[in-house]
Amino acid sequence: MTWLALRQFRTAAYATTAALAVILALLAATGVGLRDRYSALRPACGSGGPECSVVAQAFFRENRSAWLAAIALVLVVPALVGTFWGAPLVAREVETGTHFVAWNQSTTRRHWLLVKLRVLSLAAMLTAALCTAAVSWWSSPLDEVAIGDFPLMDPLMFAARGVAPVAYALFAFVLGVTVGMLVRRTTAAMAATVALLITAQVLFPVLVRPHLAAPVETTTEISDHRSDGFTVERVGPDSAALLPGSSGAWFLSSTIVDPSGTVVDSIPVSASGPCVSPVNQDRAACFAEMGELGYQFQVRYQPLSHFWPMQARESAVYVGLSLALAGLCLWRVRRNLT
Amino acid sequence: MLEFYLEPASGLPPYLQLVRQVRQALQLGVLRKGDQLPTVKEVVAGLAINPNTVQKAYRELEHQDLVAARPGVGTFVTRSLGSTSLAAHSALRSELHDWLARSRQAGLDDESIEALFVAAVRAQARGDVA
Amino acid sequence: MTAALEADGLGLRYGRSWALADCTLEIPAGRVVGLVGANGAGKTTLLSLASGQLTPSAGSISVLGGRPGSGRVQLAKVGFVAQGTPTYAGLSVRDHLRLGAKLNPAWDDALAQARIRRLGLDPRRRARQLSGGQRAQLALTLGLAKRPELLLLDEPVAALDPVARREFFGSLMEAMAENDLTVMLSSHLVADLERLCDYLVVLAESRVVLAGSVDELLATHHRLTGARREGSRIPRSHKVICASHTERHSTLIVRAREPLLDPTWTVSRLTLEDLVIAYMVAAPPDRTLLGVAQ
Repeated sequence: MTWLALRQFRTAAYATTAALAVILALLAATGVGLRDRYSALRPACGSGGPECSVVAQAFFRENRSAWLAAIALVLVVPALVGTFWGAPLVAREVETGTHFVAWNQSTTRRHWLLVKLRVLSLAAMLTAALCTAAVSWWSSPLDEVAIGDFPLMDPLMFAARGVAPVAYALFAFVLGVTVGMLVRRTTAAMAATVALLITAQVLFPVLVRPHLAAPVETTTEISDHRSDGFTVERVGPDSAALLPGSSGAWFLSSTIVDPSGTVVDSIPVSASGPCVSPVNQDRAACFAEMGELGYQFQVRYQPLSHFWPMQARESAVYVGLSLALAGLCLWRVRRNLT
Repeated sequence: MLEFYLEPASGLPPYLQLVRQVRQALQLGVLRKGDQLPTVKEVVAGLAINPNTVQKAYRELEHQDLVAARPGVGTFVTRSLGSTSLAAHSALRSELHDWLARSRQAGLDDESIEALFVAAVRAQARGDVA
Repeated sequence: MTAALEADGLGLRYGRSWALADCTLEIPAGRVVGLVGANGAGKTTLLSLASGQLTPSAGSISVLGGRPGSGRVQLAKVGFVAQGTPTYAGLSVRDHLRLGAKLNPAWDDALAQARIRRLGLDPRRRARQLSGGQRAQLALTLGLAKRPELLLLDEPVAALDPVARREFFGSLMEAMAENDLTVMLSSHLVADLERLCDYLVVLAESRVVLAGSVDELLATHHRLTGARREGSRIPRSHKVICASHTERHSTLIVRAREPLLDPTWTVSRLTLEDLVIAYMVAAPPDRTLLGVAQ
């Protein structure tokens, strides 16, 4: 049965291998130069002077498009796997009637599907792992430079680094198979798979990921460079600058709390104080007044130190979902398809 | 070797058609004692018919003592039919020619002649003389 | 001898409609069974149930003593060439044979190779490059070389020209002559079935309306023609399957338990096709009244 699974997968495997080879070669070729340039930045940054940041930003800007493309690649691989390997796996067989060929050999349907799932899941995970590892290696100098604007814990970065992409690939593949099995039309199944994967990638960071580890909650004084005026809902990368040690963190929320710790919408500043006077507004004095009144920013975030525990938990969730879907497929395949 | 055919319009069951073809071949001397009949497999592959039909036909021929099956070898003709009458064929044929000529003179067309002939054969087979 | 297929009250329902209902059959082994009926009469459903592709929603079915599709052993005993004789378009002929060899413990590679050679199929050709007849032959090869005891074929020649059809059935019957094989095939082409089948199952409107050995069915069914009259004049030993009348003339197709002695009827033989059509027209079953048609 493994032979059949591999034989049917052969064309796709060749194409994927070729594409991977091109991508890996490209990353290897440019990655070395990138590293050289990065080490060249060291002398400027060794003293830690302000010119370091300028040079580093210039270095990042130069490579920004390629860096984003590499992230996109890692994010797209699971979707491709789900759409082109997963969705057609059963759907195409049913559509062309070849499932009758496969299911009338001396092999049970369940075994047929189990072997196919096993072989292709491994291939899917291997592809994602190779891609992610290569891109992570290539990007690492830029990731360090970009950490202010693109913290590693940020949803975009988090999904493109570590082990999570491998779990996404597994999930995407099994989801594709499940959809294909229920829809039984290849094109429709492919479209539905893409839609579901995008939904999952949008909803998961919003609904599930913040709860994968208890976020760090801290308060800090309201000050000029910590917020853009009085907008309390702003959760921005610049927040990292105000909390020492929060570099690379994912900011979940920042609110203003009164002295008792209750979240408030507005601060009752004195009418004659520095916050109100339109002529002579003194922002620093205004913030100082707020501080005196006992108002503070309260910030919740997932620090960089949570990266690996959260990667492990997120992967576990996706692997669990994949196993559940695989179980559903194996149960469904024994029942009447038509 | 004998090659079988099927006539869908004959109204005869396929196995009887095979039996009749063997008998005719024996009567005409196409098949002689010792000749081998095609194997069931060959007949079946050629005609695309049910092997049970061929087996049934061969069993029927065996039953009539015309052929015998030698296991693992094939089915062979054990006696010939009408080899003696074969000599009489030409004489009978010329008589028939004369009869046909007389029938045409009497104003019968081909269809009527055939009907008359078939009716006579049937009547004789039933035992009474027309 | 055990039955090749036994069904008792077998049925399959999709939602509220029955694709096959109340099917009770006992098909002896070693036969070539013809399955006839209009489109949607339940032929494919019956074959799919027998091969284990579908599970029944009512009644029971036993194939060669086992539950269809119940495991490797049962799957090995039954071959199924599905409608349209599907093959893997991207796989070569050789790949198909390897597939068969890898997935079937009783695979007869010598037989498969010999068939492919005799059919003149290039082992390197992909299935999509083959003609319809060649694809059907490839599918049949897969079905035969797994050495099943029962081979099910669903409209195997529907897309083939007469020559390819003859070749297909020729090789099927040849295989049947060589092995202990029961064949069950559905077809619209009753003329083909007439040559092939010695057992007949007629389906109409999801029900079995006739089943039996062809010899017996032909021996017990007759066409009666004579002056027009009413059904009460038919002896009770004769069941009228269908009847048609003109002003002065009646034609009946009857199933007889004993010879008809009434000399006012002319009795003639039926072909298998006459018989099949009589039952297909007469559906639903048990319609014994006269004057159904016209």
